[in-house]
Amino acid sequence: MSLARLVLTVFLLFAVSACARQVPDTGSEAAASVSAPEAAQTDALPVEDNSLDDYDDYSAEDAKIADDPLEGWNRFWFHTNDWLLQNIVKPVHKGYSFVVPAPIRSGISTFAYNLAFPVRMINFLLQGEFAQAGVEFDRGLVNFMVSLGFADVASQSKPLYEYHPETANFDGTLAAWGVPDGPYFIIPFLGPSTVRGAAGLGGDLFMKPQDYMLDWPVTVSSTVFFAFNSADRLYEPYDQITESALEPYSALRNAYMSKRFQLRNRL
Amino acid sequence: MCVKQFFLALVLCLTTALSAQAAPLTARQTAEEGASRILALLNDPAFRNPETKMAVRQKIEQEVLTLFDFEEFATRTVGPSWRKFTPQQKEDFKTAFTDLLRNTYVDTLDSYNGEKVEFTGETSSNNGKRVEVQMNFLARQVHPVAFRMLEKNARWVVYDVLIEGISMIKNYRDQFRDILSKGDPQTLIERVRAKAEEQKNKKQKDAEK
Repeated sequence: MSLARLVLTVFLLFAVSACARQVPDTGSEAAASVSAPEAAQTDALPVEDNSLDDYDDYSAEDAKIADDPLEGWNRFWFHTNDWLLQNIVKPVHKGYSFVVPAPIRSGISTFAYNLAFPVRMINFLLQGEFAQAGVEFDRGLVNFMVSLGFADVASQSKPLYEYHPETANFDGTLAAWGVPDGPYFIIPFLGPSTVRGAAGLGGDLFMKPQDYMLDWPVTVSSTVFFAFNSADRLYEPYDQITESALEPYSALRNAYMSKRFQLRNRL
Repeated sequence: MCVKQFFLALVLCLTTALSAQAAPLTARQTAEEGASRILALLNDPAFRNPETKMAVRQKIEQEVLTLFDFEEFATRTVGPSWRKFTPQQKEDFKTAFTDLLRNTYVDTLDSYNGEKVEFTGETSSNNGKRVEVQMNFLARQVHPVAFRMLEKNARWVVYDVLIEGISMIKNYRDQFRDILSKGDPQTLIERVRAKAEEQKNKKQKDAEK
């Protein structure tokens, strides 16, 4: 029964995406003329031509990285999340990875990633990034046809356009629409983000087509399971940052916000 | 005639050789040379031999101390509050912070397994006083690393290391700012010492396991 559902879901995903396929084809010229990628940058801070200036040690960006008006909330959830991670998630995940070998875990996580391709495609469309949406569709199609989504075969071929899935989420869409990032914000039970990042994550939850077809216990448990399956990818860097730190809270904030700014400046 | 030509060639060779010797290395050359010397020591079979290991490790530490300027690290991680430190506190902090970095990172050398470093580029500041040298550390995945360098006593030294784009100095600085906002320089020195000690004990415990 569940297998039948899975196959049905996969099939329906194709159907949905095949319909959406019309848009990228007709829209690519339009995308080029309005130069949508530039719109996505509007929210970036003014970056100096040369980020290595003599006083770059104290740039406006550094001040923004350390800015933390919600510190009370953030510190509370940092400690709560940390306790949950170290005492529940990590021990359980250690046991899980002892039983389930790495190739299978990695296959599951790729499957979860491939399953979310409509979310990325919708967001690219909302951002006016039609070429990226097209690449996303093609990759999803190839991956499901070749491996039922358990492998990322498409990553072995060179894309026609520079492909940047990092912004293919509702957070990126809000950024493209000019919504400011807002301050650093730790999401309860999940981890560091910003106010807009948290809103974006909420938006993404409503974009999975399969969630509208399956019962909610299935969708909730699968979401939790997929997140748990690749928890080690999260806590390994987390441990590297916090274990060597004197103030783990500020070290994590700095690392998270630096990465976020880095992504924003690169695009 | 032939003798004349020979002398001319000799003089030319000598002058080019001398001028090459006199020209100071650029930032990137300094970084590349330093990195290749450290990697050569890490690849030295003597480093795998428990008897000679400590000697090689000392040589590596020496190379690290030449390439990286720990004084710059120390002052920059504290930032503007550095002026509030007494000369004694400055000394104490430098020692404690150097110990912290050594205890945190030196043992990671043991996990070195022939990974290579590939230099990818450099960016210079407008006035040329600072240079960022970029490289990729080729492990199972590619990790981008960058050295930020400045010229000190006619030699380029590293004053910040960026791993995956995260500045080590700025990361410590945000932590130290937190500590300094609640306490005085002495508190910070004590905290750094305690952490250095903790890292050392942790490494020993891990080794015993």
